[in-house]
Amino acid sequence: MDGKRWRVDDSCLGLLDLIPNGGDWIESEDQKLQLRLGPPGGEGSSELSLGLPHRAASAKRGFSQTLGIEPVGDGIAPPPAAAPFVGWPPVRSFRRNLAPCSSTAGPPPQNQKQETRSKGMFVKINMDGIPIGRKIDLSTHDSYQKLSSAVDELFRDLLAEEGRSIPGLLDRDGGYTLVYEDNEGDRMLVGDIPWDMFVSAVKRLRVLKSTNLSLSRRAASH
Amino acid sequence: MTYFPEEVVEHIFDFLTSHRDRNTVSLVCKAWYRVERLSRRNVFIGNCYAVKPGTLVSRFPRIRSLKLKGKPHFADFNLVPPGWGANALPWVEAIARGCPNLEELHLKRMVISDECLELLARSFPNFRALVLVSCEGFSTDGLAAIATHCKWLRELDLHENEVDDRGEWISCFPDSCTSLVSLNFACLKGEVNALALERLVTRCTNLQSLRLSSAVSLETLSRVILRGPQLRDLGTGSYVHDPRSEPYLNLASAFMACKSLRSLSGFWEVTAQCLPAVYPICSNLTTLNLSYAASIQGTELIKMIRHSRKLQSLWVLDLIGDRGLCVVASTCKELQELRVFPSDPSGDGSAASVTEEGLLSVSMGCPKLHSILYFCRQMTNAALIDVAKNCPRFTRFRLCVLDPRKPDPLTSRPLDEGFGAIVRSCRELRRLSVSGLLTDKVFHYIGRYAQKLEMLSVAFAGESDRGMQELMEGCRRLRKLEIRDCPFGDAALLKDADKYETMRSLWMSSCDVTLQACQALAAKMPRLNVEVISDDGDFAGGAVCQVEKLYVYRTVAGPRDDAPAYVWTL
Repeated sequence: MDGKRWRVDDSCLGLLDLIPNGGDWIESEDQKLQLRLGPPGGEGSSELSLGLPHRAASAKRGFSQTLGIEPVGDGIAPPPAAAPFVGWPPVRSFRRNLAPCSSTAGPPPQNQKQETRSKGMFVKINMDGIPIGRKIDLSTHDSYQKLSSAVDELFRDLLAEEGRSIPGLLDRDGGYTLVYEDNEGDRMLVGDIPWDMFVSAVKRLRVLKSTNLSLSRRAASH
Repeated sequence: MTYFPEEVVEHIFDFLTSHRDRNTVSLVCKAWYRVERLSRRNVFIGNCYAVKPGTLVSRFPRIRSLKLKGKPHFADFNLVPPGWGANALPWVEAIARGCPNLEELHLKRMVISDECLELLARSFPNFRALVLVSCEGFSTDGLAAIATHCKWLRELDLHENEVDDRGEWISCFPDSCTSLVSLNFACLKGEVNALALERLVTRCTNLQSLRLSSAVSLETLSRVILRGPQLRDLGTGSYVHDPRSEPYLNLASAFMACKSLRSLSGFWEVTAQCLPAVYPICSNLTTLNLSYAASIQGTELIKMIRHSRKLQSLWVLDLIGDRGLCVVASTCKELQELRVFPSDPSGDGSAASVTEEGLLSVSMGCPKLHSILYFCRQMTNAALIDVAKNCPRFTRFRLCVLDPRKPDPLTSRPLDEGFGAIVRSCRELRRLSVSGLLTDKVFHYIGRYAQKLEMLSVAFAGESDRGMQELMEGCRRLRKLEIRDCPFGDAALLKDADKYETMRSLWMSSCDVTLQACQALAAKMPRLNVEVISDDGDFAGGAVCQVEKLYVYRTVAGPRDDAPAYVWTL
């Protein structure tokens, strides 16, 4: 798929290309990762499809524009299973994600210590290329759009400190994708399921560089 | 014995520790029933829907300890949709009203909310022990309530639960809390206040078991161990550090002081060069659980094993390889239980794994082995037959060939004969899981020979109803039967309906059972709950459509009133 693409080394860090709707995951020859979601067999030459409900627009969009479209059709689209059978082999979910991980980059910063136990729903959020993570309170947002703005805010300052300029607009085709780890330990693309379901399932968030998706795809359970 | 005063009878009953014995004596006569029920301290309920909470409380008003199990076993593998039930709240509410002296609560596969934990913490002044295994529905807020209000808490054991992280809670243990004997929070993901943890360990001088979560650093571990050299059971946190650093050296010397350590687990993330600190402890270990340590390679595992000659129980990942199991066989002569888990369950088979060779060498080298859980890429009949000869004392034999319906690679035949040899040889077998390519024949063998079998798990096996029928006819002691993806249908289900009242439960999913047959079963057996699950809540399709999932269990409580929309109790 053509169109505006932000390369990884581009100094503009447009954000969170979540659900570039109507996309398929394709690895093209020049290593650019195209993200599309559509039903299998839909929209022409898609080699890989996540089989998710077709989104109206085909152009890759920023996350906020994605939200203009119904996230889900009549119900939850069943995720295509990587393994052929549900619950096979019979191991508990937490054992599926024990793949060796590198040690975390440094101890968590002081500001992450919680002095008081708040009733908010704080989840960790990390961004590729930034060693220090943040925490974001999901209970203060009620939609993916607000989440996206909040994430944008969070990392804007950190990115600025690193000397990068940030146009930081949500509707640019960014080189980034927002994913989350759910309660079964699987890494999932943000935006597929209704917000409430997402909030109950999400354990932590991560902003991935889109070129890393090919690597992280192995780790993702899709 | 009716001319003995009741106190004497009660005293005699005190010597009966098994639930079955106490159940039996309560059937003898009304007097004994009365004495028994008023003196009963511990109750175990294997299926929380088999009886109502109110019934428990009115019959046994003086219980001190309750153990409850909720969801079916296959819920562990995501076969039961969320919201199924098994809520702990009705139980805690009922007991709070009727048995205020409760001291211990063990829950397995149940849903427990923070509100319920708070109620628990506030309702029982003598509460001492909370054990939650594979539960969900709560957060660290609930744990904070337990820590804050249970003054005499001795045991808090959180084993493989799904817990929401809402913040720090270890600091909620008041300074006056010095009674902890066992603290296990290994399954948590959230941050831990290291200082609060150290202080807690320091003041709880009776602490014997401590299992840390991956958020606890190696540095904190070394400080904690210094303050708790009397520990018998330790689960490390994240075992990552620079091996030349002072914290690591401190850890190494702290470990030397732990003369009582017999059980070790954890190792969520590992720096291999830091493992040598553990070697001095290994020589005294009887239990070693390295099944979470995905970053310890085979060679490192083998080094640890070589130091651990006294092991009785070993849990490990298949990264150990057949070669490593050979080392286990030659080193661990006291081994009784072995579990080998897959390091890459959904992988494509290129990762390290174990085969029939590893199992065979362990069976040859470890004469006391009686319990095994083994995930492997392949298995042969020849190996199983030899294993059966070498180890006739198996009580638990669970084999999982990762490829469903995979035949013996040497002969391309089904594994019927191999499993047949196991059940023929192992007369004391109580629990069995079968896998690989299997015909009805294996069920003929199981029905014929596995006379003490109590629990059987079957997946992707069998050819016709006859398989399940032979099973039901033969295994007289069968209590739990769980089946998935097998071609068993209505005839098999209905062949021996009465038998289900002698069992705790039956689970069948992705088989060939129709709604009609389930309705027939429900009509015939009023003391069973016949629950049909449809994943999308849609029961249209009529009586001849196949049910996705079926869960049948005996009960005196009638149909449950908390079933979600996707469960239909017939």
